[in-house]
This record gives sequence, structure tokens and C-alpha cells, in this order.
Amino acid sequence: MLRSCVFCLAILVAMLTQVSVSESANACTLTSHCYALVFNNAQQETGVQVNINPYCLTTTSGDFVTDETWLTTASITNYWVEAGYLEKGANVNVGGITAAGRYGFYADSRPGGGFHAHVLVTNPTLDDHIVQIYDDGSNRFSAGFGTYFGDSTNNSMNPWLGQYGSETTTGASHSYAFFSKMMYRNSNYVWQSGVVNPGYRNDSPQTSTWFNPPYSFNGGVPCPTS
Amino acid sequence: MPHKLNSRAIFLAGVCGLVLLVIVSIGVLTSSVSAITTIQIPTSDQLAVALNVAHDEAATTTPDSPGIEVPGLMAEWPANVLSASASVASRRNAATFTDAENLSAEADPQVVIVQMTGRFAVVVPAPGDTSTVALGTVMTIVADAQTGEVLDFGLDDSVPILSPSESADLFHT
Repeated sequence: MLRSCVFCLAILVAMLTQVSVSESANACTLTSHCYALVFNNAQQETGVQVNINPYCLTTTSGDFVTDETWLTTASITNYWVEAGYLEKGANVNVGGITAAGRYGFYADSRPGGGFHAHVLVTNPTLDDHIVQIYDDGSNRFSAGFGTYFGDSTNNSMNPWLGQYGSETTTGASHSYAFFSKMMYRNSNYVWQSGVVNPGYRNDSPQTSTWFNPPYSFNGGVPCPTS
Repeated sequence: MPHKLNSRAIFLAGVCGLVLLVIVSIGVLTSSVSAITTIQIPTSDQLAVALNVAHDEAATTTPDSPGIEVPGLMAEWPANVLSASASVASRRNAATFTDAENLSAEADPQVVIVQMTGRFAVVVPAPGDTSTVALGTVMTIVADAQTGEVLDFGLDDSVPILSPSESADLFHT
């Protein structure tokens, strides 16, 4: 009897785990974006790092899609530094970038106003890239995509939270990727493996599944079936 | 006698070392000064690239229609634009105009720096539950001086402004 109850409980826990990564239906538009996100709730994070390996990355004209990571503030989340892959269609201006194509990029939105975007590499290959952002002190954040780096200067943002995942303006994009070796840098500037008390967000058709929690997951808009 | 020769050799080597140090120091100092002063007025070809970049950005960052080109505006100046000017520099030297530094990108090409004043809105990639449109009154675009490909972008209310003596006027109301 007791053994049966333990078994039932195990099934229930497994079901709840699935529910926590459930999807909500969203209309993805240029101003209302859809996400597959894993949040790191370690708090007072001073850096984030993840290996991103997209299985596919395409989008339609007038839209964009990303596979990336963000380092954001706590309550006022209008401040952040982000880095990763950006796939941008024609006929749309995304963060000042006008030409269609695939980019390795970083960008920031900082206190006092201002948004800035920087292309680190054009047409990067779809394979394992280490993507990293960390507080470099003196109002400076360092961002890296593979072997390319840049600094966000004059940025007084108070970092707190890490996010990892995909963002898109259309359900017609494809961005499913393997996010592995997730790390964060704590308030003592020491890098730690995995994410703490992970939170989730999946706006359909974005989806995500743990691969090796809390270190890696698959996420994004699923690739087209051949 | 050999002891005297050794002393003289050491003295000469010391003097040579000192001279070398002075030469190297002057070289480093000169190069950093020239790095600071490499913002230039564009040539006519570069001006044409800058003008295309400016029109392209202006037509896709109007507050009423951020991200999407307003039909008929590609060769015009939208009403929200007050002025536009352009300079030329290396990308690394231009980085300060978009609050960036230490860019170790794939190349360091010559770039046009286009700066516009007015009211602008741009669609941005952003984390969840944040505004997906950024607003600002000074828009700075750093683009490859040959291809016009945008490499760095900034939308602010307050940034380093291009010096009139180092830039060409593209448009003003």
C-alpha cells in the first residue's frame, strides 16, 4: 500500500514538473514578443553564461528571432544587457540593425535611458558558442559571443537576475536550440554552475524541455519537420 | 683592464636602453594621440553611404511606426527628424558614440558615424515583461563606410555629439 502511494506521489511530482513548463498561447508581434525562458533566481547575480547551439534559426520578412541570454535588474526590468544569436528578416529595423541576416550580437538598455546594440560577428555558424555577460565594475559590463567581445560602458545597472532562452516576433520563425552549461556569477563575483530555483516561461509556439536540470535545456520555436 | 672595459660596455648598454625607452614612449604617446584625433569629415563617396544609412534608419524609427518602413520616406526626412550629420572613423574609435569599448569584433573597418536628433522609436530585442520599443532624441548609427552595413547603434537622450568641425551636415530643419 505504502509502496503504491510512493509510486503515485512520484507520478504526481513528474506531472507537476511538466505543468511548470506549460505553454500559454500568445500572438507574437513586433511589439509583443513570445519567449521560451528559463529564469535563474539566485538573485544578486553579477554575470550569466551559457553555451548556445541552435538546431535551426530562421525567420520571415518583417520579423526577428533570437537564441540568447540576458542579465537584468530585479524589479525594474527595463534595464538589461543581452547577448547571443539574432536572426533578422528583411523590411524591419531591430535595435537599429536594418540588413537581413544572422548576427552574433550584444545590446543593453540602461538607467538614465538609452538602448545600444552591437554586431560582434555576421553570419555566425550554428554551433556551440559560449555566450557570456558579466559586471566588469566601474559601470561597465562585458559581453561575449564565442571569441568576440565588447563592453557596455557608462552603464550603472544593478544586475540581479539571469534569463536564458529564445525571443521571437512570429510563430513562423524557428529557433530550437540546446542551452547547456548554464552558469551565473554570484554577488561575490564567483562563477557557479547551474541555475537556482529556476522559473519558466513558454509562449506558444515557443517551448522548452529540461535536458539535464538545472544545467541544460532545449528551447525555442521547434525546427521545421523534414 | 678587462674590468674597465666591462664597466664601459655596461654604461653604453644602459645609455642605449634609455634612448630606446624614450623612442618607444614617444611612439606610444603619438599613436594614442592620433587614435583620439581620427574622427574625420567624410569624402563624397562616404557621404553617399552615410546619407543612405540615415534615410534607412529615419524611415524605420518614426514614433508612430517603429521598426517598419514608412512608405515614401526612404528618400525623404520624416517630420520627427530635426538634424542629421556624419563623420568617419575606425569602428573602435567610433565605439564611444554608442557607449561601447574594447570591441573585439571580427574586423575594425572604417565606418561612417551618422547622428540624428529628433524623436525616435526602435523595436528592440528585450527580456520578458519589458518594453519592446526604445525611445530617444539622439540616434547614432555606426555603419561600414563601404557597404553601409550597420555595426553599432545607440538611441539616447544624451550622448557625445559629433563635433561640427569633424562632421558634415546631412540635414537640418
